[in-house]
Amino acid sequence: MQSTTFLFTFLIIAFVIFMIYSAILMYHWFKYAMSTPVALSASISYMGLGFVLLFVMLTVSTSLL
Amino acid sequence: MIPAAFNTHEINLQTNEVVISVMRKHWFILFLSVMPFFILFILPFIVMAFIPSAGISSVAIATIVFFIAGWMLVMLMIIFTIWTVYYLDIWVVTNQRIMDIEQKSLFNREIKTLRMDTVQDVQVDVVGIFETFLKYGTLRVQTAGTGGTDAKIIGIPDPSLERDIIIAQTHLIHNAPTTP
Repeated sequence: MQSTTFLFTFLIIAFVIFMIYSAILMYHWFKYAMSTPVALSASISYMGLGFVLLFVMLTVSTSLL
Repeated sequence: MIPAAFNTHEINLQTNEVVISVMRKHWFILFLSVMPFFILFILPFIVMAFIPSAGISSVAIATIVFFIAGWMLVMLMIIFTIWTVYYLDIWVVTNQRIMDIEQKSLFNREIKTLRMDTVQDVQVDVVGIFETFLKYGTLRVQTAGTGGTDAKIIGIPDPSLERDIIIAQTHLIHNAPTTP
């Protein structure tokens, strides 16, 4: 149970860091010399891959409950 | 020469100013920067292939998978940061100015503007086997009244073509008829 709590804490920290970093990257993609299609595809691929990895972490954590 | 994925509104073009060329660094520069982190990204799979799973408890396997996903998440963030810095680092040549927009890191952006009529010297350096065969190099532009290089872009594709564009444009400006 203690290890599960640790994994969930780690997951929440990873999620928060990922979201903050996403906001920073998207600020750059949409503000500077990127056109909207490029910025959108970059956002979709980055967020997509990131959420898949976070989902794997979540699935593994819940499987240990 | 002007990539479709480029917003000219950020540059604030002046009256009668036309963008002639927009260049990013050569793809090989990006490849060299991303490659180590891509290897680190897939490294857990390579390591897992060599570790026998027999005798390892399901809890341990689940924990390992959890941290592998976390590791890949960090690598993903690093790779996208490298790509962002690469993508935002551009070199714009208009018929009036040269703009060297250098994205050094996420929060370090330097924009240099050189007036085309002050350009005195354009130098191209192609050094090494990769630069020679993949046709990229360093372009340096020097303007009047300064001793050193005013603008430099490392790893620009086809630097000779870019030099020719700048030289042709400076000739046009210098040979333009002056109004009385």
